[in-house]
Amino acid sequence: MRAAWLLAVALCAGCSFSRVRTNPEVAELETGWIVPGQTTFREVAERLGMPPPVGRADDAPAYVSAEALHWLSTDTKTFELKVGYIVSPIFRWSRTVAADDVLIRFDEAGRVRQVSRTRRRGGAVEVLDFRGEGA
Amino acid sequence: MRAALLALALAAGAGCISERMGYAVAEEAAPTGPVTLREAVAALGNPTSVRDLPGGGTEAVWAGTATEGGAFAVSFWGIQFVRLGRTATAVRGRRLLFGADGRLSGSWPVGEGEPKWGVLPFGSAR
Repeated sequence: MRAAWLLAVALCAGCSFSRVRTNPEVAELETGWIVPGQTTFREVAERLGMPPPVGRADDAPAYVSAEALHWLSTDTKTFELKVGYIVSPIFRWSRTVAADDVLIRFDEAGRVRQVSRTRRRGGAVEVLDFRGEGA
Repeated sequence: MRAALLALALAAGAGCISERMGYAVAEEAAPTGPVTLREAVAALGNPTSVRDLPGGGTEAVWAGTATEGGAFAVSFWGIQFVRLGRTATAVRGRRLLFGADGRLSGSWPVGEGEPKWGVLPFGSAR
């Protein structure tokens, strides 16, 4: 019984839980003022700013192009367990999802053609806004 | 019995790493039937990338990564001397094509599917 308690304490001492949220400001972006077919790329960039990268600075090109601007906020939950004294096996479980996602597409004239905004809390996806083409 | 215990000890000693990002997390079933892009977004979330096709229509890709493997570290008095691991990362995703009418016309997986096992150079393993 004592050995079991000692083992439980040792395992708990090696546990770590972490949660990392990148670009949380994406949840506060205002997109209701955007009018598909009228609002231009420049107006969107001036009012919302350019999308930040997720993770590394060299990710930025993936979120900015002449056809689309993509804002992404990720939510990462990690559980890690390290046990042992000199030799420690590593147990790591990590899940990263797009918590808030804003995608604005533009036509060849540089005008908004589609606004798509989603939010994921838990496992369900909620569409907050979808206007323009395909709506 | 002894071999089984030894195998279990070796497996436990190697640790276990499981990481999922993006589409690979939930791996929702891809929508089927004549759904629209909006319905696909409602099921899968915003796509990773969207583009117009030269002949008309739209292509949307959802992508994520899956990492699996094991690792262990050798440390003493808080100093980590060696960390050895063997992990593999694969891209998992789904490509959906929507025709000129805005309806789903094609769907197939993207990426390598299951991670391919292999020994990675020292220092690059996670």
